[in-house]
Amino acid sequence: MEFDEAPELRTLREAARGLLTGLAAPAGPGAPEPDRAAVWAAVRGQDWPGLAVPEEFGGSDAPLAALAVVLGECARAALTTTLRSTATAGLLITHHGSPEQRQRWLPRLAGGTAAAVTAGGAAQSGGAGGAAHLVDSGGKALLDGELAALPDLDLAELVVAVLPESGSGRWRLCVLNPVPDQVRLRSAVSGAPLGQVRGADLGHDQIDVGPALDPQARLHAIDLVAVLVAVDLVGAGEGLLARTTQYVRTREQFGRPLGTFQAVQHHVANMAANLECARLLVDDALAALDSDRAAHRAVAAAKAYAGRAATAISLMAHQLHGGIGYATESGLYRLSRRVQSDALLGGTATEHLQDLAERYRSGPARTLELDALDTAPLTGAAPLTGATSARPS
Amino acid sequence: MDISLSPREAAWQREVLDFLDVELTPELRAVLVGGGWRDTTLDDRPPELVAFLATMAARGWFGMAVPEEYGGMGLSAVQQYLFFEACDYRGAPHPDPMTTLSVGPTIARCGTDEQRRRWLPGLVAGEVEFALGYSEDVAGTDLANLRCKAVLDGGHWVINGHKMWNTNAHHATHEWLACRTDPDLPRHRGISMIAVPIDSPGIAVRKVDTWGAARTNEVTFTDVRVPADHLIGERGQGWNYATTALSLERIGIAQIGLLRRLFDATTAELARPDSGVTESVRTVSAYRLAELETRVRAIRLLAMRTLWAIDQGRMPDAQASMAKFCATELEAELATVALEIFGERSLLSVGEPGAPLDGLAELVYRRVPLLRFGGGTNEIQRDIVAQRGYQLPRAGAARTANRT
Repeated sequence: MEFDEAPELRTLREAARGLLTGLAAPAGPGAPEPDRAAVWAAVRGQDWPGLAVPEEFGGSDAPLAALAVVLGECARAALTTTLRSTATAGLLITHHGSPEQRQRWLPRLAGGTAAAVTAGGAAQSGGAGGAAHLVDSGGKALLDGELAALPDLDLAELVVAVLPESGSGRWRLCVLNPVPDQVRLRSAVSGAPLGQVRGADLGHDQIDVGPALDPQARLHAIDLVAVLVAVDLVGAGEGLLARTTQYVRTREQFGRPLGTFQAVQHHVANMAANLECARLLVDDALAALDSDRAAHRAVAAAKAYAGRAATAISLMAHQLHGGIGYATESGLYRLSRRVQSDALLGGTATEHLQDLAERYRSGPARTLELDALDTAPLTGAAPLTGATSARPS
Repeated sequence: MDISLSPREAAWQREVLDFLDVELTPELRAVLVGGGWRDTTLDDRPPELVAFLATMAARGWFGMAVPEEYGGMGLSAVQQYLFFEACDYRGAPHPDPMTTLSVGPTIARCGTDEQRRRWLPGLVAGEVEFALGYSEDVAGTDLANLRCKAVLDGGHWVINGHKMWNTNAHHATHEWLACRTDPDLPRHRGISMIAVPIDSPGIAVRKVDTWGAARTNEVTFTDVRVPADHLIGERGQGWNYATTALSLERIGIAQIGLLRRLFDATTAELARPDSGVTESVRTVSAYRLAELETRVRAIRLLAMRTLWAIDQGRMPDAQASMAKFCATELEAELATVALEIFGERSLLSVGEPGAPLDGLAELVYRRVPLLRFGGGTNEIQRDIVAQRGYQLPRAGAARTANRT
């Protein structure tokens, strides 16, 4: 058992925090939005885009936990979601691309070519941000429909999408490149503009179609996308809680710090519990994905819980900051909007919970199967027996 | 993060589970149903139960937390947890957690050699059990306000006062009594811990029934005399002794084995073809159970991380408090959801034919108030998390009550 962060990960975290603190855009009246392109340029100068890419393709072959450290720090600083999208694209191609796709795309991703990514939400979601699917056109693939809401498309040079195939219903990993000129960027609510790619704007030669994924592989692809968004939620939640505790320690009303009021302390304790539960579920899901343990249920639980937890933390952070948190000059909104979009990306809590709920809707009965304790079926009834001494009568 | 048990811990968990597989016989289960045996004195216990506990004691498990040098097993916090988790999950009787996890180790650590010789062998053998004499009518969450006093008279302490919520007093051999030995010293500093044989003249035990169908007691002390050397360790150190093992106790009261059993039993009942649940209710309930599943998973990790920290020699107060309030709030919600799923049938309680989950959810629902306020109220636990975990300032002179 080991709950402390490994020394090399702690070193990486400290380095990342130092660098990102230097990149953080100032808040205050009239302060501009962070410059996404400039931040990405600084980040790609690190070896972070290639952290989890295999060495043979120019990456560092680091464990998922190392990538999670850097992504969590980016979220905590409310900087660059492009790194997450690009790293996720690399993982999808590493695990589910064809050998040719790996050769062709991984070195570019490891080198800092930005990507946008979608795997179609959760296992219970309908499709990839819209009703897009692959169609056969004289032996070549075309995209029918549109990818309606891709984050990070503003800086992306390619899109990695797990898409269903018309007719067969099979899912395939596709790389769309170059991204068509006609891309439309929309809503900046997330701080990362959403982009729309229309199938009609993509020619045959812009769609690199990989092998069909079996159901397990498709779930794994969904898990990879979801778990890294969950990492982001924990990082953003941590940033929100740190700012909030700092604020209530010093802000005074009625002649004393807000943090001395028990109501405020209880809110902070609830935020902290929510954050720690999310963190443990996400760390457990990452560990499962990096081992041969079954991971899907752990990932669904992590994404569902982290989405709800970070949303609650964000709302309470605003409540405890009052007016100044509402004003954009405080910069609090940069974390809040990140939570707002992360909660909806990579499958919503509702979708992941529906996935978990399937077992309870249709049986047969199974325990949670968390460890040796519940691997045997429940037997007999002896509700609430409890403690006693063995003194002979 | 690596949550896998060490080989020693995994082997221990296996040993406990194997033991329960064999020893928790249908005959024993039959006499346990309803839990009424807990209200009886030792003399009225069913022989199956007496034999079961004697087998446990023969393995030394009543002394699992006492260091090996004093005749115990010296198990880690994680191992202690695994034992009680398994017993709670399987519905097995077990040693009194406070005697086993708190009193025994405290005597071993703080007692004199003579005190260790006097009480530890019996405690390890399961023959000595302590009732926890902490709370009073004026000292609940604010434990340091306790009034029960002991005055030295020659070679004896003379004790006067009363104690509330003495759950074990009707079958314990001793009172683990927190009392004021220096009335002139302020609050926390004048308190000592005295081991009082419960058959001493001047002790009266009054039964207090609870909604949760578990008896507790009020214990009154009138000029009770105990030898001076029954004061444990140093005079005036009682507060420290009472609060040293708090993190472990908070994980204990969170009853995560029970939480897991209630969850698994609820989903098993829902899957039964004759559960009587309609398709539409099943669909909605499945979703609610999925929500609760995420929290059960999280809380088990929270507990494991806290126990691991204890075994690293740290004092994870805030983590333990967090685990306590999270687990017990979840128990309340889970019991409520389980009752709702099975509707009116949930009104049937333990021992009644057709009771869903054999009445487990119904009984937990009634015991949930104790879980939430007991062991330090969940409000105090949140104060501890905010103040010690996140350095929020305390208001004025008020301080976090540091109690069990």
